[in-house]
Amino acid sequence: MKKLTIILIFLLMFSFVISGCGDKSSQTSEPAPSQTSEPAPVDQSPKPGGTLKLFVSSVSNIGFPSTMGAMSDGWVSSVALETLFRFDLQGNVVPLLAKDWKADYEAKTITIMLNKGKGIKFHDGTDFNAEAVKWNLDTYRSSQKPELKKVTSVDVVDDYTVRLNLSSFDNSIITYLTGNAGRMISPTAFENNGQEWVEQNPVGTGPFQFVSWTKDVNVKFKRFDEYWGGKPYLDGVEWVFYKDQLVAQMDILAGNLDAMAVPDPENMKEIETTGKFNTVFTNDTLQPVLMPDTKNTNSPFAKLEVRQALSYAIDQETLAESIGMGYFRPQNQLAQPGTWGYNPNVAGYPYNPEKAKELLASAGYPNGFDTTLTYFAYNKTVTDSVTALQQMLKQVGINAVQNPVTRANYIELGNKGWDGLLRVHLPSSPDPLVTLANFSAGQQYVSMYVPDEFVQKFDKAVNEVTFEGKQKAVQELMSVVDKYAIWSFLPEERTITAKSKRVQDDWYGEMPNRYINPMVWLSE
Amino acid sequence: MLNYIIKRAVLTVVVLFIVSFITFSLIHILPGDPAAAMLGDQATMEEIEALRHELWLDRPFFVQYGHWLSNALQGDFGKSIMYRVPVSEIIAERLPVTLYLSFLSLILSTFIGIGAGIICAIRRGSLIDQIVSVVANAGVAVPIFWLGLLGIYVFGFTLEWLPLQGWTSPFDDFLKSSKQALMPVICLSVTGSSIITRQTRSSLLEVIRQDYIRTAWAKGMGEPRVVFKHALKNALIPVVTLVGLQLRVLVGGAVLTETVFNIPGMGRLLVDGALAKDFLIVQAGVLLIAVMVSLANLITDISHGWLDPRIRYD
Amino acid sequence: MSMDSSGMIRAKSPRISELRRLIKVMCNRVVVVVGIGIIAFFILVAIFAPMLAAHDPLYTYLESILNPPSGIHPLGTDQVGRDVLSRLIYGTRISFLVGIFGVTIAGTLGMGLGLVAGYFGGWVNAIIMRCIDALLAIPPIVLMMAISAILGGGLFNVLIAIGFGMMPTYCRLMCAQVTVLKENDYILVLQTAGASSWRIMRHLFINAFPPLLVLITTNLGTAILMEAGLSFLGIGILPPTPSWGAMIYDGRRLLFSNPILSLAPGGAIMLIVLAFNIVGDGLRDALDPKLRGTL
Repeated sequence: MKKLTIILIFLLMFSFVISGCGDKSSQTSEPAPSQTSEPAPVDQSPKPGGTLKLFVSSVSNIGFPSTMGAMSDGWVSSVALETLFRFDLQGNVVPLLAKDWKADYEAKTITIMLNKGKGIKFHDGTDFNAEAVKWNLDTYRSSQKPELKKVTSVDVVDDYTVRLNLSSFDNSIITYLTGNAGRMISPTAFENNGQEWVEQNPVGTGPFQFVSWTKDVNVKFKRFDEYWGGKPYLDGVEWVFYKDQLVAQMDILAGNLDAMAVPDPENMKEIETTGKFNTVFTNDTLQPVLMPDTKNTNSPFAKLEVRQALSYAIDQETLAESIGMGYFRPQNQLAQPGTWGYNPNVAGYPYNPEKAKELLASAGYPNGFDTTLTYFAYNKTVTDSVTALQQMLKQVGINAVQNPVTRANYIELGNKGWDGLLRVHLPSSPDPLVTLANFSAGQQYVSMYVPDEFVQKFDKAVNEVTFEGKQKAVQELMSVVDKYAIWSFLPEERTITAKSKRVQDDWYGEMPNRYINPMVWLSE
Repeated sequence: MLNYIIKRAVLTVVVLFIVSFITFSLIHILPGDPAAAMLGDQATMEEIEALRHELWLDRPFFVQYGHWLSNALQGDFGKSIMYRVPVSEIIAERLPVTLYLSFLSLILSTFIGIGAGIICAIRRGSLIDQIVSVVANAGVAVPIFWLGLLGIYVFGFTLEWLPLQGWTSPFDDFLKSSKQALMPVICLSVTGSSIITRQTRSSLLEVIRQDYIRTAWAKGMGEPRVVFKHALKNALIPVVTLVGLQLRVLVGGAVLTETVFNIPGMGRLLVDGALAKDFLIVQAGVLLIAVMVSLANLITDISHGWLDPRIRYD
Repeated sequence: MSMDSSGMIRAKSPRISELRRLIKVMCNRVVVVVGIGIIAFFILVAIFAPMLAAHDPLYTYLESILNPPSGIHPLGTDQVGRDVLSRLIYGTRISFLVGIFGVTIAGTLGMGLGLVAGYFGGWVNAIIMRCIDALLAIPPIVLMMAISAILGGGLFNVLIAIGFGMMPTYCRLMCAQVTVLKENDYILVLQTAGASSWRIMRHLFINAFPPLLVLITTNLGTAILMEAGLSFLGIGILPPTPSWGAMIYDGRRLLFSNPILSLAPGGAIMLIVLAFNIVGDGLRDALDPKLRGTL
């Protein structure tokens, strides 16, 4: 009897996962450029009140975009600080504070039209207009952040129009404006209080207004009644800090927390089996890859066959099923299936140890070779998957010694160079060009050789003005990575976001950048 | 006496100076770039260089140390790299947590240790003596983080008597705080009580064997009276030294205990700081602990004089 | 007391009988014998690990992750499908390595410095001992963490870190012993006879050593505890080496579903450290001139 129940639960879960995937791909198959299709609302009518409590591990700056570091800085601030554009579920750029944009390739300009007549105001009562946008963009440009480096100046065309003049055309700029580069704060607040104050006190146009930030405890926001998109239902939003995921998990089970992205596969399974939560696959994932030290001509990886052998030696299916407990997903390109950049023709390197050995032999390593596998264990699953991977590589003759490093050291190695393999976890983006920008510029991951063809294709992709042109170029870029086996893919680390069942219309976790629907409400 | 204290104080300052230098050097050669860690994965080299300059990381080692020292002497320990707020602010939040737990466990281990030690000494060779001896030995042998895990599993998870982990200030919610603090305090005091039990037992036995105690026995004094009036005061001298030394052990224990029970104290702060190469945090934290340890040693030495007038301070 | 080489030989025979007495006194106590037995058992396990372990401790059976105990895997498998019992057995080797080499490093460094400081005294003593005081003021786990992080993980580097963490105590004890011993008549005689510093220091060392023997024995266990602590913080011996501390660290997040993963290695640590402590205690009592082995 008990067994039967367990089997039934598993079947239910399984069908849920399948239907979840199905929904996503059917929604995303049509690349409608700028139409939003949001998750369907429930039948109940929204009711006001309540505070939404969300898990966050840490933040360091929630009010000044130019110096924001970790992703969570942006996520936490986003309920108060809105961006000019945002992504929809399919990874298309759609308007938020801006209304529309127009790109001119010849003149190297991008013109952004703001929402006129909505009377958008910052929380401090000042107006949101073209001047404010110019101030924000100029402030961001003058910082050390790379995203807007190609913008040479910003012109105020009229009260609700700004024009960005570029040194060379780059369509990624619009994409960047969905992130911190396009995050708008009140210039008045900055001028009155200075940068340090602003870093701790976000003043934006968002549906929720900053109340307090107690270090290592929580950040509280309350409803902004004059929100331009209409009065929000919630009384407030509270981000609660947890150093330890386990504790957060206990709190969500106890009902003290409304939503969290669960990082470890074991814990995901635990949460799902309780049946107490609505779960979705978190939109942002980590895409781990093994980057070889190809710039070193003495490195075995300088040879294409060896890199291909490395990819063939990795049994992604087994890793995703065992270590990833079915939540992880094998990948052969950076664009995720179902997004516009995905190239269905990329074959990848399906697990084939025999072929790997042949390739190694033909490259002059019939007995394999020794190398180092450097990694930063941002969670404990990383160590497990590296241990399993180590054995897979050993079976084809690649003896990799594990070299776990701290975060500080990991970043330094990426910037200054490493030996052997570096396990890099790339944060996913709906626009793969954003993820790839760092390599083509030679800024990061300096030990890895980037073929000229990659750079050319990358430049072509960012120069496209039309969506279709960009889509085609990005898909070509995906096959260039595959052709040269520039790096080897490991299974994509998908997480689930668990939400208590009282949370309605929140979009949290499903939407890129953890964007929360201003009209989120609680049924209890 | 006063001379002695002044001399000790000067020596302490010298030692603290060496501590700060050793810590600074150790943290300095740790691999990894704190500036890069602070800015995150997506930072550019220019950003990192600018921050390195701001943090004085691009200067030669001795210039950096001098800069830190001169600021520290003026009470400015800088701004944490991890948290971006003044180090003093963070330590002011974290230190009371560790002190609270350490204080409780120091009291607990002293009580248990001296009590059990006396019982063992009086009933030397009996069954209870042997049992306590084995338990005391086990107490020194057990990895306290493992004991913590065992406690969480048994009392938190299986029996559901105590919360699994976490920390609440006793001023916010005393009951919840006490429940959460119970297991960490016990874990922290296990090593201490075992050591103190053993020391009390052996030094008491030694004293009992001495002539003046025999005389007291011979004069027909009752056993408790002999033990408490004559023997104990003398037997406690080495025990006091040990209690003083416990502070250092407790801080070490706090690192592990706070990790197990997820308590935001100094121990966790030091571990996190060292891993993130937040040298300002580690530097200030270690120095603070060194100050406390040195003070504890000083107090211990002075209290020796109270217990044993034969000890001279010269 | 004659100071020629034959004198040295003659001095040895009482030392041998002293050793016999020591062993006899220790063997009179049941607890100590049990402790020695436990240590012997673990030594045998360490030596014959390849024969005792049914599986490769590193092999990941990815198709059978987190299996419960069964005939094939008596203690089950861990989160990457490795046989827990085999890892436990091989872990014994790591623990002994850590104990023996950790203490060797600490002892050599600490006693060497202590001997020099105690013998020369004056400013040499002042400099060495103030540095040792400084090291003593830093919690050992923090000191070891820093060293281990600087050198990177790995068995050898962890050994150095542990050695450094334990070294100050040896230095202090040695220095204190030597300071007292060097006032002894026969050392003064040696000095006036014009013996070299090296020779005098050797004499001092031999006479100061026995009390340190107790420290060495108990520290064999302490080193194992320290390694476990470092590995538990994730900065100890590199994965996938089967160290008991690392096993506890790995098993911690699965405490509620698979408690055996973290509880079994902890039990092993406790047992062996306990054994070292008991033997160390026995040794101290036997060496104690006041007790004369009668306790």
